[in-house]
Amino acid sequence: MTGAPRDTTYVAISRGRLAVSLVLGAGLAAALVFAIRGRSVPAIDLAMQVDDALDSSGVSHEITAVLLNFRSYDTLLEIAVLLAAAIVALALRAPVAETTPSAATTHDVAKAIDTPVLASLVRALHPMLLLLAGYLLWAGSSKPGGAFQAGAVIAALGVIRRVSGVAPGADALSRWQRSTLLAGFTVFLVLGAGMLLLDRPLLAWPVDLSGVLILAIEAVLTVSIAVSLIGLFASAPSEQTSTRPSGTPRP
Amino acid sequence: MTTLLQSAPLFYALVGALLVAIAFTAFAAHTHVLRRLLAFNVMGTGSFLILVGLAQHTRGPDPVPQALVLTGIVVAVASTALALVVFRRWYEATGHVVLPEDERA
Repeated sequence: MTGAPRDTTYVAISRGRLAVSLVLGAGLAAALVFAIRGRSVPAIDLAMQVDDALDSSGVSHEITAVLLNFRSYDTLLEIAVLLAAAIVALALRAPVAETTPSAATTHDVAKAIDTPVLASLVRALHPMLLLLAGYLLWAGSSKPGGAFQAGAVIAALGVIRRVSGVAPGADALSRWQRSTLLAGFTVFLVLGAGMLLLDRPLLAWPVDLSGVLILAIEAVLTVSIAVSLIGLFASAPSEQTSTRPSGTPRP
Repeated sequence: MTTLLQSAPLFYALVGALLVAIAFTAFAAHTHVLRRLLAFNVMGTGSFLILVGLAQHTRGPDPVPQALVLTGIVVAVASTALALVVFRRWYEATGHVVLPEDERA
């Protein structure tokens, strides 16, 4: 960080603001507890409906069945949100010209890669995390697991590679990575819309193909989710690249 | 009070309600953008607890709200990460950690 050192971790709260917040918070707590007390039992038993339809979903785990079959539009929109967030984050990256040459290379932490312990640890983590991600992806159809969990593990590997300096030029996604960002949403949407050609509703998988389709979509989603999360992590400006004028006055 | 603690899911829903209220208080009281983001995340977690807890109180495990919450968690992670990118970019550009509207207040 450049400029005069000043405390940016805490901003004092005025007493009036705190009092109003406490009153509003207490009111919200009372309203929520009142609402929970006065709840009504829903007329439709969704859990039973899922149970009845599980055999036609292509997977044997209820949550995966809901996520990728019964309510797959939720998951389609979820990956769209992730894609939008990643695109906005990449668009907000500081222009390369703005950063100084030394700061533009990579995070400062990268210098730590000289340590043999860190280097071998990162190397050893690669197969373990990839195996774990593959297992989670496969497990999703019958037990807890799935595309997001697997994608999060791969993203963790990407973050480790970046902070340890293994991934060179870590401040941006490569062209290849940027195209995989789009893959999850595109494959999902094309397959879902393809159902219309088979005279089926949007995203309504045929019973005999649903298992294969769900696994294929989850595999592509895993890659896209991982790259989106890595992109979001990588596009946050690091403190070294700070270009703000030093000693900005504080009001 | 005993009627409120009939089952573990209902207890989770009440804890969720409490979390939402506490986080809302913090969200309204603090002006630092990162503290607001943290408070907002806790508020989201509270609402997830309410959603899953209330649905499972009467009929046991229900995969539909669980799937909704899973989707919600992913959206929350994505929006938190995006908010962090925006905040850091904004701090980098202006050197401020409080939004102008709050500084005037």
